[in-house]
Amino acid sequence: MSPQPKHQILVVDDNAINRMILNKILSDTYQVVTAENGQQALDICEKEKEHISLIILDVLMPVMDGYTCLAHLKEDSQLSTIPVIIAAQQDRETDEVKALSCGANDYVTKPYKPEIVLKRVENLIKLRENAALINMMEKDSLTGCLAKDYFYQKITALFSDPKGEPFNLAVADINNFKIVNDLYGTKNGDAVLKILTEILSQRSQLVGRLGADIFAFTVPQKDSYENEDFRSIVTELNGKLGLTLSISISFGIYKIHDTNVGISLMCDRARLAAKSIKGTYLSLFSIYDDRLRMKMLTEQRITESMETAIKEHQFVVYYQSKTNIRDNKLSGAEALVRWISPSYGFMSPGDFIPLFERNGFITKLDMYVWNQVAEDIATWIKEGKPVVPISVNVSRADFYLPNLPDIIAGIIKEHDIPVEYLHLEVTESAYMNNPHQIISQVTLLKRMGIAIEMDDFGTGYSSLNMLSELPIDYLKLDMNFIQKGLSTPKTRSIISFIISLAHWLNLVVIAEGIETLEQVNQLKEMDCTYAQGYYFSKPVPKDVFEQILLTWKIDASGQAEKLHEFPKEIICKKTGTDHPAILIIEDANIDKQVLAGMLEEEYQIFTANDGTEGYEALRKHKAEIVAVLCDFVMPVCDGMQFLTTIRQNPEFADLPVIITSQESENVAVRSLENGANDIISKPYCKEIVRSRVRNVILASKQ
Amino acid sequence: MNRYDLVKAGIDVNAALNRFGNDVDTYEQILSEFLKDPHYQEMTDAIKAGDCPSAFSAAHALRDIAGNLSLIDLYDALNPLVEALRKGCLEDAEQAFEPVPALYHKLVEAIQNQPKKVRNAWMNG
Repeated sequence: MSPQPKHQILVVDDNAINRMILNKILSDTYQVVTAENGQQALDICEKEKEHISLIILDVLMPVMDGYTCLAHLKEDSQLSTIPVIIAAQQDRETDEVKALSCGANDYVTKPYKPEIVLKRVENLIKLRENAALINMMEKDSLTGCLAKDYFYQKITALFSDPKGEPFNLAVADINNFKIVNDLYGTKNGDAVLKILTEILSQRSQLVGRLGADIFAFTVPQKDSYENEDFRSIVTELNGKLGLTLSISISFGIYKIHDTNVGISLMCDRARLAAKSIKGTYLSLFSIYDDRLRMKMLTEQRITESMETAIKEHQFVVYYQSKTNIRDNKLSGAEALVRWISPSYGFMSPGDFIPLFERNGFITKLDMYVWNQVAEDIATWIKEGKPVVPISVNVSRADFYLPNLPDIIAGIIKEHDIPVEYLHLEVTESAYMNNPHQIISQVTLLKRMGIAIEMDDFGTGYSSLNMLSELPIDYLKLDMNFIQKGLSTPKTRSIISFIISLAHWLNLVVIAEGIETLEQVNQLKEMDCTYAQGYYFSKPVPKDVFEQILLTWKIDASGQAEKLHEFPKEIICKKTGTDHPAILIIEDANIDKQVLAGMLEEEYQIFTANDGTEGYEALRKHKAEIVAVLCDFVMPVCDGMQFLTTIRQNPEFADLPVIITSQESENVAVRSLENGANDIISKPYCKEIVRSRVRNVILASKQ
Repeated sequence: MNRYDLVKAGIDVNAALNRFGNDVDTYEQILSEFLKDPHYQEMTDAIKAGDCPSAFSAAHALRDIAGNLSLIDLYDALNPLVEALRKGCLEDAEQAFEPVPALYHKLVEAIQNQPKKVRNAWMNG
């Protein structure tokens, strides 16, 4: 078979370099013809109109500019069907709007991004071809199933078909479809949609596409459905795709009793049913019923009353103690919130927290709790009661507050409590959503002296990378992880490993959800010192907790964990003071320790978490420090800022500095230009690190 | 290709190569075309003559090329210049123009000083 002829693309730009670049980007896939201005372009189009599949048109050109050319093209009934992409430097947002309103089909900005140019060209050519083949209104161009509105029409027609089989309406909602696109590319994502359409079409009289990854289809009318009714769809889909990721689908069913309910509402309800089981992997489908509606109504009622609840102090802080299991002393507590509502009674967090997380109210509630806890601590101090550090939850959404550290600082100041009594618990999922934001916020909070606890470790991704990147002090192992983990030898050894790793990173481990003596003993064997759970105490209201404070023995300092806090500077013990010293500036604990380990035989080691701390350490120990190793990327004061700062100070103008970074040419060149003496790339190699450090020190002495 | 000199002269070589499908030869060839491009001269002349509209179209075209070749330093410097010229404010334009010649000549020098093979490629072609 002869290969398909390449589509022809007309590139119109007065600038020779730009034409060459577009030619380079496109010529692998397309045949490219060029014109230097609008007039030339029109002449070529006249002659070649059957062959040109698309035009890429520059705006500013001599003789005839892009918009004039576009206007001529649109006036001609034949030429007007050729898709046009306007290429321009994006000076103003309105440029794109102007291009589209003048009849351009799409817009690309300069400098060109090859992937984007290719994708837009591909899309438009595909679109034009599909438009020619099928009626766009009836069919979904990608999958070939019915488009939404047409599907609605056909279903409505089925209702009035006297011979038709009775049916119900189902939707298939692909879970985490975005991940498929991210992991395997849109080509595979498209394949998922196409294959699913095929499979549904074999089983159903009508299939329509409601949204990006949501399909509606008819199912035979039955009283009840089984998982088996839907499992084969998913199995067949995954079998045909053969991706390493197994795709799951949530199905929702709307039972049709009354055809007067609009079809669009039926689809919405089926979608709602599907949505209600997202994330629960046991059931494949859910049937829309009044319970679902009730649940929505309840949520609505909660939403309506939540503001009042805060005003009327219906939210109450409970305290659950944390215990040192070596000596059974109280070492701290976690603040948990309960809702005691005059209308609904006592509500546990599971009833309202997930909703608040979705609707954003959680931030308000969290702040309320932080204030309440600070007030309680202040009261205990004032009344001369013993006090332990109390940890409060910081939800994912709180990190989107632009001034989170200021808010916390404000609360501490307002209630005038020592900073070490308020700990913050952050969750892994918060980090996963928005690592950079979290790292910089947490770093600022830590700098204020606030201890950070990583909550729920083990429930989500349990990323070791996160442990090294986030400057945390405590690791809370999640209760489910513990309960499952302690039951088999294999998972027990995983927990044991995590505990050792945490200790190596200078993190204190707190086991959550401890309910039995057996668990306590196992934790002791694993060298875990702190635990929290019903075995010790359930969450209790303030007055009961005050009794605990008065009667339990308190961990000597009231904050035993502080012993483990990673010091701002450590001096390695192995070396004598006559050794020269190296300063390592690095925000990630693991990297810091790895470097220190490689160098500690020959040098004293000082460490700092960022450029600002590094500069302080340098001024304090200038007599001993003979070289600095500084990370390029750090959240607060990064490698380049540090370099610039110290090179301005004559005292350190000649001090050898090595920049550490993941390999990148731009970093290397920038570093050397800014006065670095050498570069070490990550991951580190012991021999290279040692030899580079030795070399820069020797060179500086000459 | 001496990448160090190119990067030092303000070129994001990696980004540029990405645009050329990592085809070093083509990139070198097009980079040397930059030496022949008339827009810098046109822009300079027009600014000296106080001719804002001509200076604008030349500066705009030059920025186009600077972006596509990832001459990032020059590109950044041209941004305020193009905007000043668009507004027709000669005074602002002259001020924005100040750093441009040095950046341009640094680039020209770096490209001219590339190893022989590169220069021959465009001189012969």
